[in-house]
Amino acid sequence: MSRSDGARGGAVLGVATLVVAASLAANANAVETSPLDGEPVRLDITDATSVVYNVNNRNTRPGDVERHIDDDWGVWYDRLNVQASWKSWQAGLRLDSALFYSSPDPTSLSLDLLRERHGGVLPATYTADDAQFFVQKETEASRELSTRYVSWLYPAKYYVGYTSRDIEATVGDFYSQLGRGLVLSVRKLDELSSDTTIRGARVTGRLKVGSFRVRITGLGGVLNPLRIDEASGRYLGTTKEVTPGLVGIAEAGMPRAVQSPFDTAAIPTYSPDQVVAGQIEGGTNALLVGVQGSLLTRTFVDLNGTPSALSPGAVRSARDIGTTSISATVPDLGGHGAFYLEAALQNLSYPSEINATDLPHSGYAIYASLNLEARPLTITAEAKNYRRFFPLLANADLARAPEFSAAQYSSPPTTEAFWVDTEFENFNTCVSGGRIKADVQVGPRETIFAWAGRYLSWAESVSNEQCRTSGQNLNSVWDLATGFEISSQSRRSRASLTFGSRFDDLDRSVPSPVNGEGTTVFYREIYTRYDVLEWLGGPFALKLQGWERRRHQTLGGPAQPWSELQNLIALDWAPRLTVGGGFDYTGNPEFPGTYFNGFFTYNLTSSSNVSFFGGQRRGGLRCVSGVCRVYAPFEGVRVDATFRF
Amino acid sequence: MRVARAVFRLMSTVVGSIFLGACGSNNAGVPQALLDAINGQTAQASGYPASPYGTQVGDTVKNLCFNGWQDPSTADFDPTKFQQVCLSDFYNPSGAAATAGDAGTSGAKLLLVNSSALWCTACRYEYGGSGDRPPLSSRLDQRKAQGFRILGTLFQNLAGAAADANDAKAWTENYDIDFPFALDDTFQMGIFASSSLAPFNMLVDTKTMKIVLEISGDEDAVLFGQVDTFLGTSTQ
Repeated sequence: MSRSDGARGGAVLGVATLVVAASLAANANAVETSPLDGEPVRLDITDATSVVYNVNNRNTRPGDVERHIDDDWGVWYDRLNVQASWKSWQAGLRLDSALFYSSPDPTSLSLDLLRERHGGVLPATYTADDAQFFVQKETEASRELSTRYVSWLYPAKYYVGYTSRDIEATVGDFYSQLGRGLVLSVRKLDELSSDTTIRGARVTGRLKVGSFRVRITGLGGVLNPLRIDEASGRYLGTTKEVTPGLVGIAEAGMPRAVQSPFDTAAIPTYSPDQVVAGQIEGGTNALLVGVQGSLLTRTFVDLNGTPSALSPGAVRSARDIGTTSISATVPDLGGHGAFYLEAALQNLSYPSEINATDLPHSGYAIYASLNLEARPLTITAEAKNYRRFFPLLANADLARAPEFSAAQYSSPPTTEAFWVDTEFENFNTCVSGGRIKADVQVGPRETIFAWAGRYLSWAESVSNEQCRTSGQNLNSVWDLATGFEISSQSRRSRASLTFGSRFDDLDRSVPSPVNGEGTTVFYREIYTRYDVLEWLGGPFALKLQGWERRRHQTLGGPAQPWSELQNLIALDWAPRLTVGGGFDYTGNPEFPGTYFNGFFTYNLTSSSNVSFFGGQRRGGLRCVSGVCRVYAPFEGVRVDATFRF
Repeated sequence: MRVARAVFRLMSTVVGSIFLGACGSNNAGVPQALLDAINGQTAQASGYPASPYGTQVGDTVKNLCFNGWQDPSTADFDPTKFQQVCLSDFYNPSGAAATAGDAGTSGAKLLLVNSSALWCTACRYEYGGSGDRPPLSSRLDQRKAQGFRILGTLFQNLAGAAADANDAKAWTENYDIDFPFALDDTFQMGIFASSSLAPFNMLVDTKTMKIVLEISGDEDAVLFGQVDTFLGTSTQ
């Protein structure tokens, strides 16, 4: 079968599946069998499928393999989810498949780069430099393709569970968050395309004596992040070396590393981490006290007698990371709010073969939140004080799978608005501060709000794993915002508007990239966010969303301040159809300036829909934990559908 | 799944045969003249460890050559004074110590090859220091007598395009670099690391030219812990 035939075949198969599934889903209901021991088995089948094709995303640079190889590829990605329940029992299986029906060819790509080097035409004769360039690009492309655009079918998640009033038990994949995420947090985050579970066993018991209640949870298993990054086509692959013993059982059927022709063996891009954790939480309606702990253990590869993480670093090179915390919750402050406090300790242990003199061995975190309500005023305050407290980063190979650099199993609260993406580097590992927000209801349907956030971080503009809190390392941040929310027409129309700013200053002077003069400005931003839903009468509504930013980053950003616009307009014809379009702009010279797109979503039933997206989406640059990564923009088309059969 | 992998392996085999210098005829449209040029490539520097070369820890690193300076500061950061800087310049099979007047490449025991880009904030912290953290040149000075050497490379500018000689000049001048530094405008370091991620640091044992450590990102505690362990061991 030729390449184009294969491409056509894969795409056609994907679209045909969409059509057949749509016809089946139109009359969707959960299936119930005839009674078994007095109760039927209830079966739910859902399928989320996506057919995506990426065209040239305008990020190519001369000689850059990675920015060429992310053009002209397509994938049919399918997630089939089967769930069964009977009496107190549940079972589920999610089968993920990625069929790359089109992907770049390393030799053609290397020839293209060589052609580009010679002004668009291959020369008649070749120099030694040409030969070296070609071989080098061929090597890069082939290694890149060993971790990318490889088709897989694998059991992404599966479980069997038992639930009663007093006991809940699961064997297989499960989500877990202990406390506010300082100790352990594995869950699904749609906005990050992240869906991590623990594959193992968990038991939770509950006991109630009078007004006193206690809940005890114990769990253990192998961490199981999603293995395929749909946006880049990259996958996480393991080898026998990193899946010894029981880990190998948990990893059965999961994607394996593929050997590149330029490597002597397959090299893993992921080494499954293991965790045991537990929580005891007890108290009354007045006070709940919890104790939770987790121990993360890694499987290292042997590099010439030295055990090593796939990407050595202060957190990934720790063979064991133990984190414990104690929490107190006052769920009701006399009908006027709630209070939460959690204090955690973290201990990192390194293999004796590693020189860990300057590595962090212990740290702590204190987090508190307070919610007060005295109509018309509501106050929400959050505070944090973290010292050498690190997120539990996954043992992934960043050089070969950079898309997974942010995969982690805990999420210490940031106390920031959910959209804040300007906590640079290791900001949150050595920080003190918090944010207080006041909402005032000034009318029956009108609320105004304002917040102030103040943070001192000693790990944002410096590499500071030891969390030395000297002025030389300090970044001082003011994050301020105000806005309003209004609704009308029986709340069928609503609007919210936020004006905000972020001033992030250094305690020391650094040279400005513009004129070389000293400056204490590290980052500046002013922005507006809006979200409007206007009822147009009958089933129609107009939706407007946007985020307009003016940014200035002294280190690492463009030399001059730049603007970013993100706008979306959509017409909603409830409950069936939504049609819209978007426009993005960035003044950052590293990326193309303008991005246009259009989309629609058609709801077949309340639980089945088909959507189409065509056009462009902006990429970006983010620096987290000492790693700066360019996120590629998207240009192409995608059809997504979710069906419940 | 299996079909796709089989296709991938077939494709890889063709590519592998080209890389290994096999003069086959079934190599996916590669012009014969180019294949001839590949087969006729200049052999590795005399005395440099023989192939096979690899990209992983424990592998022998290929003798990469760049345009750059042995000492940017004494060359006044002037790109017209570019010369070839190769990994073989640091090759020191006898482990002989440097003597007065030797170039910055001689007397090496452990070589740090750094790959940076102008858009990379963490790279700036490495070179310029940050807060109370010393710059890369101070790290070098502290360990120079033990045989520690650095080769810095720059592969992209602020806009993500290939870096040029002016970028190399600005970078070295800004951080007053006095150790070997080169322009990697074709991103030769791409066989080790991703171009979308920086910095990348690689330690090479100059006695064997084998890779000792590879680190993606600014992880100086791990990096220099390993440097000190190696130098302590090698000087015992």
